[in-house]
Amino acid sequence: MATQPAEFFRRVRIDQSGSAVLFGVLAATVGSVASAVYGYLSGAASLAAVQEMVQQMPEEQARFLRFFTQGMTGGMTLAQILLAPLLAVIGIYLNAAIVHVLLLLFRGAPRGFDATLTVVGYATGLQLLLAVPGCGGLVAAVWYMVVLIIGLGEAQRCGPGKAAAAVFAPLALACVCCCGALGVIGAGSSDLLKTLQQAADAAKGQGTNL
Amino acid sequence: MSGEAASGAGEGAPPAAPPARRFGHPEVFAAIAALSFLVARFLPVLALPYTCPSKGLLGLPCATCGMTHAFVALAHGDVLAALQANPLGAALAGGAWLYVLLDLLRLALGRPFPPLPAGRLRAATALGVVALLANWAWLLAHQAQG
Repeated sequence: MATQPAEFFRRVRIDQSGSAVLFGVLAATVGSVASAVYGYLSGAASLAAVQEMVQQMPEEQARFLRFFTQGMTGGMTLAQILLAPLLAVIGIYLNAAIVHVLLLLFRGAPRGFDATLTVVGYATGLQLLLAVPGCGGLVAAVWYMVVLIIGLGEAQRCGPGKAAAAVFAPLALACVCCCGALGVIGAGSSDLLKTLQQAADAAKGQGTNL
Repeated sequence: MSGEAASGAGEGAPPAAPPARRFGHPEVFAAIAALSFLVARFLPVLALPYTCPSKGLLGLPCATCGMTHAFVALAHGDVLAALQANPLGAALAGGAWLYVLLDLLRLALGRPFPPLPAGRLRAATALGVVALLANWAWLLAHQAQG
């Protein structure tokens, strides 16, 4: 599935989406648990440095960063581990639903929701890469997109163009919104950059690598 | 979009009434919607120190900002607060929870999930995208006023 997605999804059975969901849930759970444990173990070292940085920032931005530092605590790690399977099921179904309605919008879903759910379920199996420290999350995200586009093109028999349009439409919408927002705030962004620069300088002064 | 509907939601096949399953995709979506109500009603989700990245870094709300507040307010019966927090979120919450009730009723009556014609789903999706953009514009205007 990961290395030859076209061949796999051309022949995959779409009437057994439960197996695909189970595969995705198991892999995503293992990946999330490994990622949470690794984050907890490595987080303690960077926690102090991030908290130093937070003190230099305006309240809104500080709260944003503080949320991520709180994610490094034991309680949040435990919650992340316990909720991983449930969140994986919800993520797979909601993701499949969003992709499927967008495929319908582009007239690219002739084989129904089960085909979309099967592809999303198996593609979610790549979340296993979250277990790889450092770049695992990024690799998983990119690989997931590639497999999803190829898989939807094959399983739905709609071709990679419509599949890519359906997968990238939410991202494109988000980009349009962000560009619009950046255009609106205009000069305000320079203040943000200045603040980030000051915070980075302060952190450098403390001898951190952030 | 769903399970039994999935067969009907494909574009090539004509909508047909598939055999009813005990726990198919419609029930999974209903369970997710029911879970969203329980979480919004009974868990202190607003106490989580979460800030939207768009709001935190750019100072502007994203298209879905306020949806958690809308879900929580509606789960506590405060319709006005839900609409003020995020109109689309309030509609989404209301629609999702209504769907749970309708699905339970359908199961109780032993009826199959009604086929969803692809054309209607396509129109609903287009409407949803427009609603999302309109909601975002409303949130921006609301922030500019307040």
